Amino acid sequence: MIPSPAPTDLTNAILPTQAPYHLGLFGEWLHLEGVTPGVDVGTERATSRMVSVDGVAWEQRAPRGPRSWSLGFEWATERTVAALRVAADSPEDVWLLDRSMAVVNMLAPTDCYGTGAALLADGMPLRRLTIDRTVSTMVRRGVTSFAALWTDAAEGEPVGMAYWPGGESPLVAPGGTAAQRASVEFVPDSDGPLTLVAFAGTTGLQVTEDWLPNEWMAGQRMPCRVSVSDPERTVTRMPDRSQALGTYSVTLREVG
Amino acid sequence: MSFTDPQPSEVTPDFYVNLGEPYGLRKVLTWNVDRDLVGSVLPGSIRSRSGLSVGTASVTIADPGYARTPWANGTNRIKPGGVAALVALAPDGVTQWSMGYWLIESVSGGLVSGEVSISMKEMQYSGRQIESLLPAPAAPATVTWAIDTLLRQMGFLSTPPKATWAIVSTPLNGGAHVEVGTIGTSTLAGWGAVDGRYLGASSGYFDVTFPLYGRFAGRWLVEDAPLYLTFSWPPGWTDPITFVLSAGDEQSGATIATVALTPGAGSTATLGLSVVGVGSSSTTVTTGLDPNHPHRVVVEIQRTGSPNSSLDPFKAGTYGPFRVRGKSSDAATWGAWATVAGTVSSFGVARVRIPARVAGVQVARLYSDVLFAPTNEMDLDLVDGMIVAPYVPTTVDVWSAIQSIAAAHMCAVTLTSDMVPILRGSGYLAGASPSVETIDVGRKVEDLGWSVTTEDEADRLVVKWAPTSKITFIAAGEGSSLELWSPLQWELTEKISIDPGEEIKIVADFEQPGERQVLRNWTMAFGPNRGLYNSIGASSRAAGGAEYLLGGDAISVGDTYFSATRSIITVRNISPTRVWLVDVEGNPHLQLRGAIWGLGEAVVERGLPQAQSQKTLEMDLTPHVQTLADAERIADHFWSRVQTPGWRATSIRVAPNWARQIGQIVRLVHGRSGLRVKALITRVAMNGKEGDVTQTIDVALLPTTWADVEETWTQADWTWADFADHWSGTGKTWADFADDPLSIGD
Repeated sequence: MIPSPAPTDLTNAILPTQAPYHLGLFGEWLHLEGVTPGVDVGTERATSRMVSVDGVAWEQRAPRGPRSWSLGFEWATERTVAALRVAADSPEDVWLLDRSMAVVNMLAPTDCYGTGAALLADGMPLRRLTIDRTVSTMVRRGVTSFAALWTDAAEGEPVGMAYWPGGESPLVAPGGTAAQRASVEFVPDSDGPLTLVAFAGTTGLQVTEDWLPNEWMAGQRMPCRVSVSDPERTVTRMPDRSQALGTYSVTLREVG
Repeated sequence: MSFTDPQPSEVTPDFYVNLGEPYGLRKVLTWNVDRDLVGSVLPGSIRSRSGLSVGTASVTIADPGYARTPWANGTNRIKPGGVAALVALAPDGVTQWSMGYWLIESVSGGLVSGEVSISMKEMQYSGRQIESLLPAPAAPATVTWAIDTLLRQMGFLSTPPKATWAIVSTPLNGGAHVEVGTIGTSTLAGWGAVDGRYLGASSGYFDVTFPLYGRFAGRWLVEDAPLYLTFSWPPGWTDPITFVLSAGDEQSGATIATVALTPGAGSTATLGLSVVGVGSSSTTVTTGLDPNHPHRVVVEIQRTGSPNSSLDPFKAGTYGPFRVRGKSSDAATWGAWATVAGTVSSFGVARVRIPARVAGVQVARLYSDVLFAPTNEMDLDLVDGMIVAPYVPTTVDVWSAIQSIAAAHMCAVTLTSDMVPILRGSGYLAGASPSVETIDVGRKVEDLGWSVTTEDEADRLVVKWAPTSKITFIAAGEGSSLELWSPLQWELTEKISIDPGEEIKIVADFEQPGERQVLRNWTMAFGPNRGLYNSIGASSRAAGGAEYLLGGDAISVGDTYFSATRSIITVRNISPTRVWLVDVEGNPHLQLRGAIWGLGEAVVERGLPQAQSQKTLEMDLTPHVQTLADAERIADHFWSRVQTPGWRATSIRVAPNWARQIGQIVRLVHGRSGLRVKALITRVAMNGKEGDVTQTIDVALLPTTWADVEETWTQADWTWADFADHWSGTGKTWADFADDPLSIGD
């Protein structure tokens, strides 16, 4: 554990040298400092299998698989260790934000497309929504964010609506010969939910922080609620006449 | 993901339980729904061809926290009881599949387990009301009538619901019985399907009468107290349905006025009013305005003017004309009045003459939108079997009563997961109907475990049934003073006293089914000192009781027959002294007399004599099978099925089709092993957790029937000529019928 530096201004763009992990605790975002590279993100999706009399395999899978992040801290700051400890003891409202995923697509994976006929979104076949759909994710104060979807509606036709803390805007089809992306850029006044209403016939829903990639990318469900394990400490340095130093490891499991 | 067409690779749906307030809709961690068709009168695999539908379910949900422990304060704490709805939601977030409504039996959890388990049972086991179970029908009625009448008490309505304030209510569901009111003249109603409902189908009619005068009758038919007549009729019905006002105390009194509703071929009905000796008038009612009840009209009938005495509203006062009007939906405005001038002021009895095929009639003193309340979707077959003397023990709940009658008559009554009652007869359950699904065992079944047992065989069949005899009169008294009495239905076993002005209600449960009879007797003794007795009422005095201390009007007694086995007796003390219901020796004394049915015991046998039989199968169908014809038919049906051993298959894991229900006929085929058989689904068990939904079924294998032959040949576009060609072409004759015609084409 090392003394904490001054708090990071999270409204800045991503610092390439900075670990992308932030912990949401009682409504505040804290940067997890000192994360060791090599973070293992695992997924546990339940499946089952039945093989019939004539050898036909039937496989089922759960609609989603909760993820878990195994984080190691070689140079954990005092503030990070304290935050993890508080999160482990007060699990009711703890969130994880992985900013490298938030710039890809913050929505849940299956929220992004429907079950209708496929639409080619810049080469990517995605099934359209058969009815209007309302999806939501958490956006952050002062962070430039984008909400987008793909449509082949005529130019000027409204294809969706976005509501964020402090504002709202319709999404309007840009028109064109192939499917195009309708998007809106916004900066929320405060932390809170973004609600994106996508009209039937659209697909490829996407919400990002900082910038909007050219292509649709799969939903990452980020930020998400997590359950934080008790930080495990391994004492590595025990110098004379000084405090012992240790490394920490913690597992963040997705819940909700 | 498809609920009815499983794919080799798919995403499982989310499962939710709606526990109602305050818990609301909750996602389920693990769940189990199990419906079983259990036989009660037959052994082995043939057992499953009739009987009880037993359903259980359980779910676990995430622990809702300390605020919901059983010892928590506030309204959020978890309590057993209440209704839970189970529903699955497909991954598209739109498609839902209901798994029914259930009664919560028990809830369990722990402080650290993180889960709460909820056990549930089928909601239809929800006890019985006092006014329940089977009434005595006007004539022997079908099993379908009995099932429909009992389902009605569970809230499954095939015909208009009974308004609580109705003066007359007839469901007319095939048994010509009234829920409220008394049948006067009647002819037997049959059973048939009309307009998606089940109701009387044969010709004929019955009359329901009620008095329009009397101490408690109140003010009827004046302007501020009209009568509302509700009629439902089958499509195409064009005969008038009549309502008659008569003079005097008896039904035979002279007709004073008639109201007749005549449904037309189009969208109007003619409403006619005729006052004898005065004139007649008619108006029209636009019909079909209510989508739930396209063939229902409410008629309002009244006299204008006002009586000058509230005690005698019919015989004094200033009266204007009679008038009637109608409408066919709650939202519609009333049609124009049909008015007949006249000042008839003396009438006593009203009579509704109801043609047997009319779906239901109600007479009420209030109008309410309840008269247009929707009825339920039901799928009841007309099954063989007649009920002569409805006998259901007074201790059972309604659903158990339904199941015991169905089991005795080789039927099955089940509820689908979206709560549609289904009645299937023995023929259907034996496979005399097309299969709803063909299950390719090779592709969709994990394994087909089979077993053969001697339990399903017999060389002698004994069917026990209950012949009935109706006892209406018995002789009482001695010698030349022989009097006719009605048999005793019930008598008081406790000494009861009634204070002046007090009214008591006594629930009288009979040991044998019975019904009201004109020569019934209330025999009782009462008095402040005991030992003084009396018979009350003119008919009692005629039957021999003449000695009394207090006047015959010291108490008033009434009875309401709620079923063939239960009556509610109301006794009100209208004398100034306390009255004891005791006889001359101080013993309890209050008797209810009326017709009773004797239920006997007889057997029908098939097979070897008792001395030579090695394995006898006994079926006890008492007391619900009450005619020899039914007993013989059931014996024939099963005798043909117990002489050869069948094989059975249980706990077959199949690719889940959520639409599978118990009582369905399916076909199991497997090319490699040459399996091709028709089967009855007797159990459907579904278990689920995240990423895993399993379905396990039990089946009873069914012998080949002519329905199978026909189905096989017509499905392949073959005709009976091809069938004959097949036989003659192979040099076979009808004597070679051991060849299995179903093997063709496989």
